[in-house]
Amino acid sequence: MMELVGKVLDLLPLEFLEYDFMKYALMAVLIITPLFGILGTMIVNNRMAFFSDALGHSAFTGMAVGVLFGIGNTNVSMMLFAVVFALLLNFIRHKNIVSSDTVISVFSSLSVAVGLAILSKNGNFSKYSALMVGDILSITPGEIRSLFLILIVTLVFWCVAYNGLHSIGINSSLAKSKGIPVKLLDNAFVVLVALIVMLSIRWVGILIINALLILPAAAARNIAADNREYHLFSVMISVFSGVLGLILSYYLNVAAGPMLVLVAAIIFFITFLARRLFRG
Amino acid sequence: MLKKKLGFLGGIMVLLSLAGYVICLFAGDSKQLNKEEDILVVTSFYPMYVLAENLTEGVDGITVSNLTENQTGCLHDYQLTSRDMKLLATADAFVINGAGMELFMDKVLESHAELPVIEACHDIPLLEGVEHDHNHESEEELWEHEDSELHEEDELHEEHDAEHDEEHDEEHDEEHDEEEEHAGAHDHAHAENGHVWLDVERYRKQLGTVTEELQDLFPEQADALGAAAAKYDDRLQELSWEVDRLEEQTHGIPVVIFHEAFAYLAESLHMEVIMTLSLDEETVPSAGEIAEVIEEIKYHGAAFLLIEEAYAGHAEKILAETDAEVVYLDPLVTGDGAADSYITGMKKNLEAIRHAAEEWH
Repeated sequence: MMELVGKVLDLLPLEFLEYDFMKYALMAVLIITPLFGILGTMIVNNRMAFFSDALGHSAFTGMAVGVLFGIGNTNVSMMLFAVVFALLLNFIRHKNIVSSDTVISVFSSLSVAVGLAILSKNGNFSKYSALMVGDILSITPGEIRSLFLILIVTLVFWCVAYNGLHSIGINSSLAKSKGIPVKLLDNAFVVLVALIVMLSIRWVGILIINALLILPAAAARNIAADNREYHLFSVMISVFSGVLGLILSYYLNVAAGPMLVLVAAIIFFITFLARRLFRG
Repeated sequence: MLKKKLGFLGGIMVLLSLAGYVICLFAGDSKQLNKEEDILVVTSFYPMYVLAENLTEGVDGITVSNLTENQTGCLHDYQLTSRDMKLLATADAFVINGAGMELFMDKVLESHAELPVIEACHDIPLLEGVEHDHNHESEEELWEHEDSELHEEDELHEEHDAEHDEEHDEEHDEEHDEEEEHAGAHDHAHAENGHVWLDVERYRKQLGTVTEELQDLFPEQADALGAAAAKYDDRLQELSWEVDRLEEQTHGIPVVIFHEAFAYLAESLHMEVIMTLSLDEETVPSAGEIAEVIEEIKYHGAAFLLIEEAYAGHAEKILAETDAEVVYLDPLVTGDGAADSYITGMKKNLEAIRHAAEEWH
C-alpha cells in the first residue's frame, strides 16, 4: 500500500518528492489535514478551542511519563496519556463546578509543568525542544499507517455520530432529552481528537498544533452559509494549507508546522475580511 | 452562491501559491549545492570541516562543504533540515567525528544507505564522558566525577598520570561511596566523550584516518591528498611539541572543567581533573550544582577552572567563594571557516593556560 502510493508520487515531476522523507511527509499531510478540517468544524462549533489546546500541551507529560517508565516508543505513552487526560478534562468540564475555561487552564498548565519538570531534570530539556516546533523528518511509515486507520475510523464515526454531536453543540440538555447518548458521543469525540493530535504533534509541534485544528474551520466559518459548505471549505483550506506549507518549508528550509499554520492564518484573515461579501 | 465562494477560495489559493513560488525564488536556498563535476565531501561540523579543508587544500577536483553552519557548535541536539538531506544526497563522502557526536546519523543512513561515511574517531581511545543522555529511555545524572579513565589502553597516557588518578580516586570514592551506591540503582552506562580534537595527538590521528579513507575512496586524488595531509600534519606536529613544552608547567595542576572537550586538553597537559561539569550550549547548571562545584574545589583545592568565555557568569559565582582562577578556553567548535582556525585557536588556548600557570607557580 505504502509502496504503491510512493510509486504514484514518484511519477509526479516534483523535485522535492525525490526524497523519502518528503514523500512520507506529503502522505501524512494528505491524510491528516482533511482530518483536522473535519474535526476542526466540531471543535469550533462546540467552543472547544481551548480544550484542544490543553490536549496538545499534555503531550509533554505523555512523553515525560514514557521517559520515566522507560517506554521505548514514547508515542504509545503520549497517546495513552492524552486519552486519559482528554476523558478527565471532559468529565470535569461537564461537572460545572468552576467555569470550564478555568478548569482547562489549570489542567493544561499542570500537565505542562509536570512534563517540563520531568524532562528538564538534569538540565537537558533542549533535546525535547523538537517537540515544540516539530520535525518533519520524524514521520515514519508506521505512523502513516496508524494515521490512515484513524482517518477511516473518523470518517465512520462522523457518518454515524455527526447529527448527535451537532445537537450536543447546540444544546446538550435538549439532545439528552431526545435520547442522544451525549456522554458517549462527547467522550468518543475527544478521544479521537486526542489520538490525532498525538500522532501529528511530533512533526507539527506542540506550540502550534491547535492552530491547525482551529484555523481552517474558523476560516471556513467566515464564508460558509450551511453545514455542507462549512465542512467542504474547512477540508479544502486545511488540505491546501498543508500541502503549500509543506512545499514552502522544503524550499525555504524552515520547520513545516509553522509554515502550515502561516498559510492557514493568511487564508483566515482574507476570508475574515471578505465575509461581508458573501453575507449579502 | 456556492460556486461563487468556491471561486473565491480557489482564487485565494492560486494567489497564495504564486506568492509562495515568488518567495521561494527570492528567499530560497541560498547555499550552493554542488553543481560541478567535483567530488563533494560533506563534513558534519566545524572541527571536521577545518580538518577536511586542510586536507584538500590544493587538491583539484574535491569540494568540501559543511553540513551545519560554522556557528552551530556541538551537534548534540542538532536537528537535520531538509536542506541537509539534499546536500547529503549529492555528497560523495561524509566525514563525521563519530563517538556519539552525530546523533542524527541513523536518519542519514536510513535515507542515504549508499553514502560512504568516514568516522574520524573510529580507532581512537576515548575518555569517559559526562552522561549526556540522548537516548530517550534512560535517565542519568548530569554529574560524573571525572576519573580520566580510558576505555582502552592508550599509549598517549603516561604512567605517573595513572598513579595520580588512583590516589585521587581513593579519596574520592570514600567521600562519595554513598552517592555512587545511589547512582548504581539505575543503569550506569557511561557516555563517551567525543570531543577528541582538543588533544592534538588524537586530532592528528583523526587526520590520518580521514586521509587514508579518502585516498581509498578517490584513488585519483590520493597523492595530492597525501601531500596536503603531510603539510598539515607537520604544522600539527609543531603544535604538539608546544603542548609538550607547556606540560612541564601544567602537569599536576588540579582543574575543574566546564566543557567535556577540555578533558582532552587537560589530559594532554597532564592536569588533574577534579570534576567535569558539562556546559554545552544546552545546559544551565542549577544553583545546587554550582554549590557542589564550590564544595569540590574547597575539598581538593582546584587551581583552575577551564571554561568557555560564554559561561563567565557561572564562573564568577564560583570565584567569589573560592580562590580558584578562571582560564577561558575555546572548544574550537565554531569559527569563521578559515583553514588555520584550529591551529590559531589551539595556540590561543595554550597561551591562556601558560599565562595562568606562570602566575600560579
